[in-house]
Amino acid sequence: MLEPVVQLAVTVPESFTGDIMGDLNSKRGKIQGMEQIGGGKQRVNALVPQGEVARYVIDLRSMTGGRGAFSMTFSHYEEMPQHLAQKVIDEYQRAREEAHKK
Amino acid sequence: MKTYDAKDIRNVLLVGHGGSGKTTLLEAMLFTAGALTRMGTVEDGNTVSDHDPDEQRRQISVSLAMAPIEWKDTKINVLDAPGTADFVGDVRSAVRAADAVIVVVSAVDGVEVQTEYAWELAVQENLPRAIFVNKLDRERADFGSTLDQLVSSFGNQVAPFELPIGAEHEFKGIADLLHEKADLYPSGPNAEESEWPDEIHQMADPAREKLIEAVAESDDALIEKYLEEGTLPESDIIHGAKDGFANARLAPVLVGSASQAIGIDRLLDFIVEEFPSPIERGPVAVIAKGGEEKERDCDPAAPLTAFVFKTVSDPFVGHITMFRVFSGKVRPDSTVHDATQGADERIGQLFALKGKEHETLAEVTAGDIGAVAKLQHTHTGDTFATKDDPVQLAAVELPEPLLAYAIAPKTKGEEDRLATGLTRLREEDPTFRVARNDETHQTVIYGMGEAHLGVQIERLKAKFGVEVETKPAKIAYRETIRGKAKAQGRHVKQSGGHGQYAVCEIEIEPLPRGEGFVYEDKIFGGAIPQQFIPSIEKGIVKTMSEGVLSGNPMVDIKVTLVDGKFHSVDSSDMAFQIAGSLALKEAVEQGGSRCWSRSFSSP
Repeated sequence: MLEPVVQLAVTVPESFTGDIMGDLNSKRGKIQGMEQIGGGKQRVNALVPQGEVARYVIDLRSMTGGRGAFSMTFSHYEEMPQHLAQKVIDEYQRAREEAHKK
Repeated sequence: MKTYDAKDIRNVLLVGHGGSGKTTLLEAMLFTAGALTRMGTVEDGNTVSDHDPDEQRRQISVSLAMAPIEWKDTKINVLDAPGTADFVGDVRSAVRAADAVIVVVSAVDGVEVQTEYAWELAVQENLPRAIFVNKLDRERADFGSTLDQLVSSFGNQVAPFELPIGAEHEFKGIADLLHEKADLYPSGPNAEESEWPDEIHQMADPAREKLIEAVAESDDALIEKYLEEGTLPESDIIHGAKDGFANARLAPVLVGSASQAIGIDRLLDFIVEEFPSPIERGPVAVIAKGGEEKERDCDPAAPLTAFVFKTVSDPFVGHITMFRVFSGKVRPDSTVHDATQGADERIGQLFALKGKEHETLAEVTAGDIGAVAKLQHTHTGDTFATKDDPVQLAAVELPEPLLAYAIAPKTKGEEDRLATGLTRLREEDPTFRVARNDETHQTVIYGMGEAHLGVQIERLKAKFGVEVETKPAKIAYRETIRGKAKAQGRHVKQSGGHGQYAVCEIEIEPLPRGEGFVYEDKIFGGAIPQQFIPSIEKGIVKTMSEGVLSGNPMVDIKVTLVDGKFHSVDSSDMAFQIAGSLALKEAVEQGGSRCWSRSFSSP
């Protein structure tokens, strides 16, 4: 099973960089690099499965008190971990069975 | 309302963090100017600006509102922008309609995130910016610390023109540093002129020094004089301050309390005297049809150029379009050309919006802001021009949407009404987008955050009568296989009547990422007739597009047709399509990805 992976660029004040990277790691993100962009801000670039960051605007605002900004673009498809693939399949099968019952 | 010349018009945008008091400030300005007999409050939901039920319920502005204020023979068009990050689209468009901004800061909360954002936006657009430190009558209001934060966030161009006299509930007046006088507000919104109280000197003297320094720094000629003489003469200070502000190199700090209407008359005076008129802002850059860049002067006799900065749908009058005229004029019962859509628009009655009320205008001339109802083609962000010279203003740079929801009507059969509502909302708000995802079969709406999408969903219900259910937008997964497999697809039904017969045998193997699908025919000796070979492929492709396990399309596989059987009468195109489909499903189940087969066969 393949999942879409997005290229994520997160801009935050430096003091939040650690939290942002920790959070991206927990979202199965691959950090590609960091850069200073002036004004005490840093940009973190990462590849992250789209399903993990569908609500990233909400997560980022709560982590940074609204001081973070981000952009994401589709990057590529990648093999997803087995247990997560299984979850997607199970959900689909369950939904199909329910539709049948109706 | 009478028609004002451009030199007597000021277009002012209020920006700042949510809750800093922009809506109350507009209310106080209207009250001070005598346009209201009593001030409404955000809490009571009866302000001019927050007239939308959504705003009254949430007690925040979710939409740009405006009101014209007549003050000392000048018309001040005040635009009240929402302060929440979700509604930045309105702020971005409104910046275009304004000639200067007032950044409203709460003296209780200091500089906040949206204060910084609003500031940056004004800097990008090179708009003069003044700062209004509000809520000085509140408990825990701290002017000193707010000013420090302003200076550390925005630099030395932040120049205090005023100081508060008295703190928190004893806040009673304003010390004018420029003219060294005091204004007290013993009752009502009108100041009584007075002397600086003795205790203010301790704070005001160094603040005035700082102001002179900031004025000097904004102008090379002045800094020389200042360094030589250690100070500046009164006239240089006043002129320097005005020029520095107009050139966006100096940000005057004014103080007051919107809810107590303290300092509002001074703010209105300041806008009339110091804020640039549309003429002083200079010509606007436009792009002609061939891509040629030119300028249009703020002249009512020039050809029309106007910018549509906001559209709202009103349940009673339909669409209301708000526009700022840069050159030329718009008359009632005339035709304008929407250069962005390439369509003529019939203009009916022209009016000024005061919250939700309409005040009829005889015309809207260069420099002014007006509104018109029931346009057919116009969207937010369009340019009005003339048909023979359809120039356009540069497009407003809008942020990409950040959040997506899948939506469906709660009641079946309301799909059409939902589609109409979504189209309308999208025309009003360019940061709101709608897409039909054919792969996941969902209608997906995109916006700037939870509040933004929440408001749109409420509007669908209130204005278009459609209740919707929301779900997270589905992720477009792809199925693929991990290893090789071989399987037979057998579709045989010959029990009476017209029979069906098709058998095929295929091998599948994974392809590298992005290769899609490859089909190869390796049948020896015509085991099945040539005409059925594409039929098998068709069946396989159809099954791949629907997916085998999860409802997501299958990609990156190679299918090799190795064998098959046919019947001279009962074989058909359809039978072989079904056989191909069955073969693929079987192959995937068997071994193409062993670890999935368990769930596939489970009940």
